[in-house]
Amino acid sequence: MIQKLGSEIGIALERLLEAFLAVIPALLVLIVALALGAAFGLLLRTLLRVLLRLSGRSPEPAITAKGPAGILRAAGLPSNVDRLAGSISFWAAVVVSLVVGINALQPSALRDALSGLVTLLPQILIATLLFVAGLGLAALARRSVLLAAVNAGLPWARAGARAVHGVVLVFFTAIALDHMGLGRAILVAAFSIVMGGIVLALALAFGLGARDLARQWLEKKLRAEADDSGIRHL
Amino acid sequence: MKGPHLLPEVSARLARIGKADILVGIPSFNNERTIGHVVRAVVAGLARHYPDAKAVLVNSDGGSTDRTREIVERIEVGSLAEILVDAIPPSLAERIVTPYVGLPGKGSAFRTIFRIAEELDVTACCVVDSDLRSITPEWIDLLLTPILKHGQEFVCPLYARHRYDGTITNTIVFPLTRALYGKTIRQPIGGDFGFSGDLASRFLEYDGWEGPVARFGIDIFMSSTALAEGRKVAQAFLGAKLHDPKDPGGDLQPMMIQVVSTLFEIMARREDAWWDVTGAAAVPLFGFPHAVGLDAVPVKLDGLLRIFHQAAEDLPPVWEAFLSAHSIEAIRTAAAASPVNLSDEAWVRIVYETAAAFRHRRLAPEVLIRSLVPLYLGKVATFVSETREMTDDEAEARWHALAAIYERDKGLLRALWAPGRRQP
Repeated sequence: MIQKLGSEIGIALERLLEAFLAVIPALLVLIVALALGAAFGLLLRTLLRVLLRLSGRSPEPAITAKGPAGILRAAGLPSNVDRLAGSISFWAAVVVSLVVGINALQPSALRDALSGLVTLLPQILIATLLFVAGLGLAALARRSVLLAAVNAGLPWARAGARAVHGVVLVFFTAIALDHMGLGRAILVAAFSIVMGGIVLALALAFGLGARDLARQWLEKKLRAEADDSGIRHL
Repeated sequence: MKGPHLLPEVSARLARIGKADILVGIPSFNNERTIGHVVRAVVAGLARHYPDAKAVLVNSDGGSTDRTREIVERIEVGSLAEILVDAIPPSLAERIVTPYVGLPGKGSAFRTIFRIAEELDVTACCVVDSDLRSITPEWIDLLLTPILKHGQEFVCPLYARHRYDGTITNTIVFPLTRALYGKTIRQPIGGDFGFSGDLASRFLEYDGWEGPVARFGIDIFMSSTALAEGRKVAQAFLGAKLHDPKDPGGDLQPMMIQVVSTLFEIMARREDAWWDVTGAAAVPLFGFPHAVGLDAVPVKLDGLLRIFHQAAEDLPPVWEAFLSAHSIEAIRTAAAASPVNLSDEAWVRIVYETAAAFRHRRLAPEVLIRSLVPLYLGKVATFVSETREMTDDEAEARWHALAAIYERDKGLLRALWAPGRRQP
């Protein structure tokens, strides 16, 4: 009995070893493909940076320039277009090499699993990009609200900035999850309720609770009054 | 031809005029209450001081919906004898009224004036605001004669001003311009200037007319450009400057963003012009400085202090992107003091660190300067607290002392601006 069990275990281990040895060449191909992809990506990135610099589009855009550099800077992100283009080209090369490498694998559970992951990759990538964009925009919104509120002398500056940051982040997270098809119905309902509630609460707070403040603020805006310090700045 | 497009009828009139000697430009937007007085002063000034010159008055208008343009075209000067014009000229200055193109703002209006000056190949120009109540015919003499008869190329105004009037000028523009270019120009953004026709053409060559230069940045653009190019710059004492009560300079934040970002932009473009400059020299002063009775500027410190204190609490995370820990600590200390005390040294360091951050694009220019606003208000509050009991001369000396700190610490600016570059 024990002898038979030992024999069965031996056969199972042998099969496992055979399966493992069968996968090794394909894994090696996958690793080589990834290495080649990374090397090609690095080459592409360097080439692109050199070309952009030679064409004068980078790296020193005018300080008040508009266009991609201006948008990146406004969002608080590094404004070197060449660096951004280089990063995108590098990661694109890596992803392409990964797909090629997976195709080199023999039909197996590993290949199926990796293929499934690669099929999902575009969706995951777009959702990640949406989330990262949300992070950037939320930070931008928080800073803008904070500066505007502090310069207007509003006591709730920090709390308001945090609230705006949270709302923008929730909004983009919801979009990202929706893009991946996760809990779509629940997301839409929850988001509608939360956003509707916030807008209604703000409208009531500003229109009823702070009626006098609302009137004064609108009057000041409409009359374009100067600040009340008495100072003439220019 | 460089510069903005002109209306066909304006081009036709310019073709008829051919060449002119002098051009006086007046930018306007809904100034029916004051522009008549300005036009009369300009025409009388030209008649009295330059009766034989071929002169043109250009009103560059931003789409006024009141009677501004009609007033410029039709207002009579009145009896020239009554304003002591001895030699009555054969004809008064020709008047051209035209809308300008581009972003709405004083800079765009000036750009059209520069273009017309270039078309007419004038020898000298001056520009005066359309909301002035204190302009006299002598202003035309003071702004133009240094150009026409004394070889100067750019004339800045020097007004008698209340100590709390023009605080962006006093805390940033005057001392920084002096430290950068080594010339003592007390009011580089005074608003009324004289300049040569050649310099008007040079202004047109600038490629950033879609930015802050189109608005309030125009004054510091003109002054900085003239200084950076090593032009002959002078000042002219014009007495008091009284505006229409509807002061276009009332909205602090956009105004400060436009002025300071233009100042930094020209610094970035003309680094070689200021890098080696040390010390500061006086420039020729035309006119006869005299005492002027000025309206008091009633300052309410509460609002300034509230914003400064709140910023000291809330903004350090924003400031950390471009200010040193040393500066942020100095701000906290200043806010904790009573009365508030943002020292000259701390303020100069803050301005230099902001300029370097602008140069190295650590934040968007607008964000950078918005985050400087509460610190500026803190510096103004400090100045008000310090000078309440001072005489006017003592208060003026305080600004010159601040300028001296800017000069003394210019090495810090250089080190932050271009860390690897040789110091003079």
